[in-house]
Amino acid sequence: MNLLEISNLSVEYYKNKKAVRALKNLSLKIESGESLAVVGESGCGKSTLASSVMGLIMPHEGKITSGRIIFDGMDIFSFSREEWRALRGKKAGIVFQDPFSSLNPVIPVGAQIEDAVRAHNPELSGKALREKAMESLAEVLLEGERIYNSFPHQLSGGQRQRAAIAAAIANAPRLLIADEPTTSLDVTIQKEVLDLFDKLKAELGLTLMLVTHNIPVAAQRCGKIAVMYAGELIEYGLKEDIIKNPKHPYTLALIASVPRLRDKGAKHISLAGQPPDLSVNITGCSFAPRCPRVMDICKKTAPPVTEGGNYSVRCFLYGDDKN
Amino acid sequence: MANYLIKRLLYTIPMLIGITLITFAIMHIVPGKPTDFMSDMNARVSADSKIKLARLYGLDKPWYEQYWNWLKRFGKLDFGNSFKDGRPSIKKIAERLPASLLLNILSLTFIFCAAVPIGIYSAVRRNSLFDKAMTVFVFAGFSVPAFWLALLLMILFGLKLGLLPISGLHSLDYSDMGFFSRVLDTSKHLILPVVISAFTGLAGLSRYARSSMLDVLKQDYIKTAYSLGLPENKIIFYYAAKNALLPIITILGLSLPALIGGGFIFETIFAYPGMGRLGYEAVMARDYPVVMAVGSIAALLTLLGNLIADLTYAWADPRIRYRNR
Repeated sequence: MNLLEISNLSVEYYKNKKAVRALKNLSLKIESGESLAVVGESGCGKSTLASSVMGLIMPHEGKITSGRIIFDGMDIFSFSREEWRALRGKKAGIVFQDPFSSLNPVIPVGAQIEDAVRAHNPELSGKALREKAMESLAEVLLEGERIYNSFPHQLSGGQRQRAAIAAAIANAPRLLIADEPTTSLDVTIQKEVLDLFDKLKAELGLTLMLVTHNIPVAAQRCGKIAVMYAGELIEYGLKEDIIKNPKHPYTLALIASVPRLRDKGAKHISLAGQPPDLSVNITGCSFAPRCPRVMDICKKTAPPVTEGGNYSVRCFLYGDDKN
Repeated sequence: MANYLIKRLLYTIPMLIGITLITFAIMHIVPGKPTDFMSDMNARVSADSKIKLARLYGLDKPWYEQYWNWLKRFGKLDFGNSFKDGRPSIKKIAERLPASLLLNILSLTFIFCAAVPIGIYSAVRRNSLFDKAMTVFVFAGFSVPAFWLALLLMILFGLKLGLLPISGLHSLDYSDMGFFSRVLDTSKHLILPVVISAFTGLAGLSRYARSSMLDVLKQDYIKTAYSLGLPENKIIFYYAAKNALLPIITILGLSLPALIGGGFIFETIFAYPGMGRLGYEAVMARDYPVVMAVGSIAALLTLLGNLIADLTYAWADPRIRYRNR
């Protein structure tokens, strides 16, 4: 069963009075219990996707121009303010990239988690609230008592990110979105936090949407991978298919650009050029200017999506006639 | 903490000396002597008695020696007697201080109680009709001179409508009044001065609260609070406001000296018996002891205000509170 079904989602941001099309007709689904990695370069719209699901595109930042998101059978764009509040934190949680700015600096960590619990359990008393918050801290492997009364600045980056995760899972949501959760952490801490996601997934039955720019992390931690470029989904499939048999030239380049320790030498390729300016309308394929296998048609017409089972790719190379 | 406090208090000493030295020097550079009013206006005063008079007040010595003498007396908290009427400067200040405090505490309270909610509401409902109306109000508050506004309101409420008294702090028959009539009489006298002195301050501070709140509302932790499903009221009035109000504390500390200061133009217009007019009159009469007393008390309060602001800030912001543990 699909927990999340995103169809034809388009989002625009306002930047210097220009509309930046951060997401263009994006469709994606996540099955209950699975883990999906959304990968792509920075600025490709993967964080926007995460924010859209949580209804966190702030009115002053931008707006959703079209599309639908069905979460657990409910059309979330028809939600009232109260229905949104009931979804956030309770049914879906999100962990942000920077643990240094995602926790309130003037409120003790424990109180912040308690507030998250209280928001969805108004009937709980002070003691029960504290207990639930403590459980949550234990779940993310933080020693409760000390962390509870600490302010965010008294914790290390890894501890802060764990505390943020504790707040996000305090009400046992079904979906957890992790938006670049390890990008601003030390490498050793990164592994710990990612291991924590694995543990939570196993213990709480979470459905995980991991947004990352790091393909190896995606391949290690997730069953499926969605590759985004310039606000579009360009390739989607099981991890094995994407990593071992990438079809889209961009995915190919992305995988080839990962530096490897073993084969020293000039094998790794870096992709020339920059992602396109999203405030300009693009005709044809948005990757065409950087694509090593570009054809004439790519510059004129938007490429078709070829789908089959758990796989899809948006490229002329794999159109019906050639597949 | 105690170390910090002692250090800060010790720092105020050189500052205070610097401030009083400059005040003293400026007063002596300005043309005219305190004795001029007694001697120059009188044709019968001989050159000889002028010198005697100057010697009597110690004005014949070089200014730095005079300053040193003043400083020695200041160390004993002796501010000397007024050259004008021979009464102790400190007594003259004590007469004026309560009126100044009353007016300024009322106006400052009014400013903070109104500016903070206005600022928060403007930020939350940005670009709403209310926010735009407040922008116009702020513009007016910054551009309209207080004395001009004072005159207009005095004409309207004092002369045309006859609702409010336009000068002083008490009516002539104040001493014959009962307690409640006295309170009512004083309140009526205070309305115009408080409203007008609050007007400009309100404009600035509400703008400040608004921009501080806007800044906070853009922070990641506010997004986190929304993502956890917290009620919007809690997010705005607790998660956001607690952060947004921190810088306001500093401003509050910096406005403490204004508690005794007050503008002399303003006080002159309202014939208000405050410190501003006392200081102005003392400067005009070259009444050195009173000028120095007013100046050093104002300086002391400013330094104290800064200290209180820093301490309050440290108390309110855990990032500073726990830094040295």
